[in-house]
Amino acid sequence: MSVHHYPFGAMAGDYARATLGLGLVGLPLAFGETAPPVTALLAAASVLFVIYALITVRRHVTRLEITDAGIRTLSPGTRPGVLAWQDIKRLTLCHYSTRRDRSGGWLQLRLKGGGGSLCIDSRLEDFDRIAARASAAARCNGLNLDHATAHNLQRLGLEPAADHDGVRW
Amino acid sequence: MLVYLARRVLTMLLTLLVISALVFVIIQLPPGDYLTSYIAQLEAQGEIVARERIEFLRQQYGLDRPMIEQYAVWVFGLVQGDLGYSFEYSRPVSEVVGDRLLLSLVLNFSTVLFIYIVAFPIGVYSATHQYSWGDHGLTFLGFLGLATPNFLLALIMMYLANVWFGTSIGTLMAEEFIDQPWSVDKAMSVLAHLWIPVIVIGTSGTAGMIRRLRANLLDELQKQYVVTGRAKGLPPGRLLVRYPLRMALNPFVADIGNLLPQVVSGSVIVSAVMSLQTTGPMLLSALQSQDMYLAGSFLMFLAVLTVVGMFLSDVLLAVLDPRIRMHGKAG
Repeated sequence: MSVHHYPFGAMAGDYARATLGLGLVGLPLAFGETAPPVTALLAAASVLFVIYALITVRRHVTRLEITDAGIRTLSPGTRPGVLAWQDIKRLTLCHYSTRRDRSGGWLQLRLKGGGGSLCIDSRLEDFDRIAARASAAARCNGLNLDHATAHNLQRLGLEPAADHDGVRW
Repeated sequence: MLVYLARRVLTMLLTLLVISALVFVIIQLPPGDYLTSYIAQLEAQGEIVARERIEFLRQQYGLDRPMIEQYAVWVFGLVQGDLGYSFEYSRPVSEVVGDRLLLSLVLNFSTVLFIYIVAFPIGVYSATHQYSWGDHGLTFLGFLGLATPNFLLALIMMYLANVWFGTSIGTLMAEEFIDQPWSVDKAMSVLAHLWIPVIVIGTSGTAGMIRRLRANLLDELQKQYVVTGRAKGLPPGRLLVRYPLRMALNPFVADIGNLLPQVVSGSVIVSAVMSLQTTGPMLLSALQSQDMYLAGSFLMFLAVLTVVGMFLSDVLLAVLDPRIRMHGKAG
């Protein structure tokens, strides 16, 4: 069994961005009399940044246990979630970047199955190993992968075999 | 995806903040200010303006304050929905612009819609019927559209619309509706007049978009997976829609961000030529007279339009194609 978490160094940028975003949209709302359309836009953006901050905190305090049976997530104040490798019904690996040339950015691995789902991103310790373990499980379970996921796995050095109607492990 | 949205919105807000600072500095860059231009204009007409009065006006308009203070007042005003005060018209900017912002928005949105609706089927046809008579004809029209300056096309279209369709020239609505409150008749009149500027502004963008879609789709159609699909007996229509067309759509979607600035800057000249009641002609006049709050509000409106276009294009692209790029290494 191995335990993984998001290191503070990797999450610091998210904390800074959430704070900056909340400051930029929250200050005019708190201290100024804004016009109704502007208020609506600022309020929507504030909600988005609050959710972003909550996701960041939740990720930071979450621990993931990887075993031969599956993945177990441990977050303070919530019941542990368990996703067995053999129950995985869907695997997607997406890349996001806020730069125009799509360089840099981060990967997001989403697993679904057994009545639950799990979403982790590439700043998690040993993300590549977890992605490799999940893709091996997808192969065992005979899952169909979309083109983007197959391409991204290939870029991580995990080669899927392709047929013309999606990619089957 | 939510994290991506939050990060992208933050980038958008910071970009707008930087643009607002640049806009303000650039408007202030020419020597003097609105009052200098105004006094020079009066003196050219033989009038003498008392020094005390000039100082009083400068104080009244806040032009004697440091630039950073003027900028801060303007930006906080913008966030609160106060666009500032127009020196030239001696009225608040929001009253001066009236319907112009809305009409500019309608014109630019309709143009982008026109470009996509026309370019998509023609681009697909040209790629799937490469080197046919239809492809050659549409390619010729495309090059013609790219090469014809907007203002020239505007003059030709104005003449043809008047001679062939009897549509009044030089406005975005019938004269009786100008400066009148909005009504169904006024909206219908705007729609009846909209097609000429939309075609004029949209032609070059449409031509460019057709060329890009054709080139992208041709690249995809020659790839091995398409040959494999054909060999496996997939119907041509289904094969086209499910695979190469989807891949060729990425640059098409990504172009929304590039298209908006092109459409907006094109519409300024066309609006001046066709005397449209959009932001273009008023922006030119405000820049000439250094009416900084009026010009700044227009430029910020155009910047918001562009940045929102880029945002939509990036979000659509992230949804459609979340792949790592060849030069990109995910962190």
